[in-house]
Amino acid sequence: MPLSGQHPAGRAAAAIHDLGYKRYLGNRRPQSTRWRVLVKNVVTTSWRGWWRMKMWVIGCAVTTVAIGVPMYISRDRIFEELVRRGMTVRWSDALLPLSFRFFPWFAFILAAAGAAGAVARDLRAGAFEFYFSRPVRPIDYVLGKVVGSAMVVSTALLAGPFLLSLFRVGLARDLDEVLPALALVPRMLLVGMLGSVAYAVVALAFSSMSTRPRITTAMWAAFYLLFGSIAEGLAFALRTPDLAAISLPRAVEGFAFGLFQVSVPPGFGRLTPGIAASYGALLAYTAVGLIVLQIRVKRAERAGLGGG
Amino acid sequence: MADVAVQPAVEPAVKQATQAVVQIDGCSKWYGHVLGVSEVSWTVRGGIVGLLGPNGAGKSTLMKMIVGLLRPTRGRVAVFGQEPSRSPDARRRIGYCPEHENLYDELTALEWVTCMAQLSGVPRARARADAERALVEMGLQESLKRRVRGFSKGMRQRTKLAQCLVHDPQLLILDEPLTGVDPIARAEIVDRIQDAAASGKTVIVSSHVLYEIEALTEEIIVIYRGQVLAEGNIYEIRTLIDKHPHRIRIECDRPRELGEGLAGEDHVVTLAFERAAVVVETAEPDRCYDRIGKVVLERKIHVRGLTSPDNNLGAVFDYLTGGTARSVGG
Amino acid sequence: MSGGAGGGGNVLGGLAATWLQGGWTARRLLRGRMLWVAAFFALGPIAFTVLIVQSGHTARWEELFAPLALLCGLVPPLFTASTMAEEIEDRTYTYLWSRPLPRWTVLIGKLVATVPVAAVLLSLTALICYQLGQRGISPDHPWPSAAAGRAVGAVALAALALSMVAGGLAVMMPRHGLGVAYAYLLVLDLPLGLMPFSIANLSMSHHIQTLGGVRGTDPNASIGAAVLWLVGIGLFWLILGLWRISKSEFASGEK
Repeated sequence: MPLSGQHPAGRAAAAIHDLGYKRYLGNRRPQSTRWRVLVKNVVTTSWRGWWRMKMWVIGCAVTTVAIGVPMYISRDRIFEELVRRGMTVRWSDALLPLSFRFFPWFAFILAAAGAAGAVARDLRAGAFEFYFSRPVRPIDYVLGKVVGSAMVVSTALLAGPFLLSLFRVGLARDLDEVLPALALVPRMLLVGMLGSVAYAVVALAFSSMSTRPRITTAMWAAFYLLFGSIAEGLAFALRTPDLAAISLPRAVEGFAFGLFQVSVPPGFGRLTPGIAASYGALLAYTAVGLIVLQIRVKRAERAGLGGG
Repeated sequence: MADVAVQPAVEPAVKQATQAVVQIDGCSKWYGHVLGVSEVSWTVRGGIVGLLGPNGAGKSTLMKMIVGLLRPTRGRVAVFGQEPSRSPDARRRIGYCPEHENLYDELTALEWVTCMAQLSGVPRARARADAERALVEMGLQESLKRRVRGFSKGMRQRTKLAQCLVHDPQLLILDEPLTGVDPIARAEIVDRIQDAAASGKTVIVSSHVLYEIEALTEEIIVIYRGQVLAEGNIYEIRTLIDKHPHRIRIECDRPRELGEGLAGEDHVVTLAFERAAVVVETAEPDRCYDRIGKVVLERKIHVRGLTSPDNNLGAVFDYLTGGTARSVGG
Repeated sequence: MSGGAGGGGNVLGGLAATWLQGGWTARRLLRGRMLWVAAFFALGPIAFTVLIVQSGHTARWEELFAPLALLCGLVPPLFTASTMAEEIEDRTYTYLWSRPLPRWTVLIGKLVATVPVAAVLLSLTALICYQLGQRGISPDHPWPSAAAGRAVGAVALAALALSMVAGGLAVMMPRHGLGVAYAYLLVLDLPLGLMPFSIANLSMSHHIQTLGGVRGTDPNASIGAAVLWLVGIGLFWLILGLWRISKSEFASGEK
């Protein structure tokens, strides 16, 4: 459409013709679903290359099989005999929550390879300019990143445990055994989902703290390994198991053990926090992580940050 | 490709040189399944030579092979008679300015160039003074002690050029050195490059914009899709393109009948027949295309395809000169 | 500089090139944010020691040394993997490799800078923890003889060995060097250290604990063997990295 200045005599003195940009008039994706674009982007980016996701997913698959095999063997008559002689929990059932001692390793690496540097990489590459020059709100960005990263992490914390619980159901010999076994499935799903979200959110919160992905990855690793082990050490030294819930993997483990009513006797392995403390810690980490992430993203959007 | 020497443009001292500064013999470079450079042979004896081509044509690959960062998959590269990837002595005489803008952000411009001078073998006692001089020559006297983290694109380009010149090399390899600089800085950089050439250094400078190169030299090599399309004097190349008979290949059901309709035209140089096609060589492509259209309509010939094997050079050259602003990919 | 056709600089020997690069890398490291981040991490074991002592609980050596051993796994990879991977990812290696210096000096030069900085930071942390923890010693749980010296020796050697591992991994996987280094330590090294028999010898954390005077899975482990194993594992990865750096062109893989 030409923009023109009017000459006193009535004819146009000058005109600027907009020959370039024309507003897109086709269908638009609704605002409420734009975060899904980011979800897809997070997952496809993670899947590309070997070291970011595939390798660790294979690790999870191996772990699933490795736990599944003893689960199968435990259904053997010998184990049943052991149970009759005094074992309080069925091995096949106890292996399900016990699997949360191993899957978090892969969840940590998946988060380190992706989520822990995700926002920093966007800041460094100037991707915020691309996102926020479009009708994308910070909340869409946060939601997209969280759901996408949680999906990536869930390949470790959700997919493996879920398959194991289905396997456990498949091992049932009769209907009487199927029904209690089926009750295990939603519990595994609950632990996996909550754990995946907590891991993704905390890692993303760290990734929003600097524009250098390697520094944010190191911060996530330090939080997970160092801070977590210090919390465990304090819990052990002060004889306060619930303090160990500060450690993210212990919180996931404590929540799983609590849901399955598995108690580890004192002196047998490390301290496991109670279900309330574990559940509270996971919720608190998720909430604090989301707040930090939203504040940092909003601040970056307002500052018009881009480029490293 | 024939081993054609590109003549130096500026200084007489190098004209007398007999040894090639850069000698590339049948070089190809593959990145996995992607061909970066294909069967390039080229000799540079001195002066300023412009390496022209659209983005992704293979200019940077060729330059990296000359510097020794890449080894050719096939063929041989020699700089001052030595293989640069193996010979530190050859690399000692090269100054390289890469196309990317990354520097050590924690250092000041003076520290960065001093570091590069020391790593080029300039004695520690002299390195700082040489670095300061190089930066001042590039017009960065005000920013010597500023950290490069805050430098603009133009300042980074000048800092890169300073590190390239600081150890007084004999061969300068400049990968798109004028990208992102303002017109005043561009003129200054062009002057510095010409000074360097005038003092006897050989300069190979790349660009995808012809007028940038025209300001520096008339000697160019045009590279497209990893192959050398043309080399020599820029104006002679342009004339050659215009004079060069243009081939048009028409796939149709009755090629001989189409050939017959074109045979009488004065602009048609030759006609060659294939099984289901005719290849016309013409001195005036536009008139030829008009004539083809008429003959096809008059005789109701069914045309299946019409291609021009000679379009590449013309299109690339048009692109480089901005003539038609046609995108040639790449 | 433009006074003639020029002759270029001199060809640098390996030692000179290594030393020069070490100096400039150290300068960059000391100015960058990474050192402060690492110093912040170092507060973890110190805070842990303070909390243990303040709570009136007996300060056991193995408890105090555990966070130190983890800090060893975090700091050297942060320094070495980051500086090496950034060199490749940011393509600043092009300035270095187009100069008359041997390629291997780029990696060794980084180690010359990062190992001392990491070793000093870790040793200081160890000494502070030792000093603070002494107030919580109980006769029931005596500390090993020369605990301070052993701790400093262990963390300093860990800085060297883990830097070599991280440097080698960063050259092989520049984009994920740091993540892979951490994954290596968590998924491979720590579990290996918990294995019985001689398999534990492949674990660096196991040897760091042995050097630090902590009885691990093998109470009879000797200090000499631990030193040899640590250096050996570090050298293995370093040699792989040097081999890769001599062969690779990083032409299409740096992005």
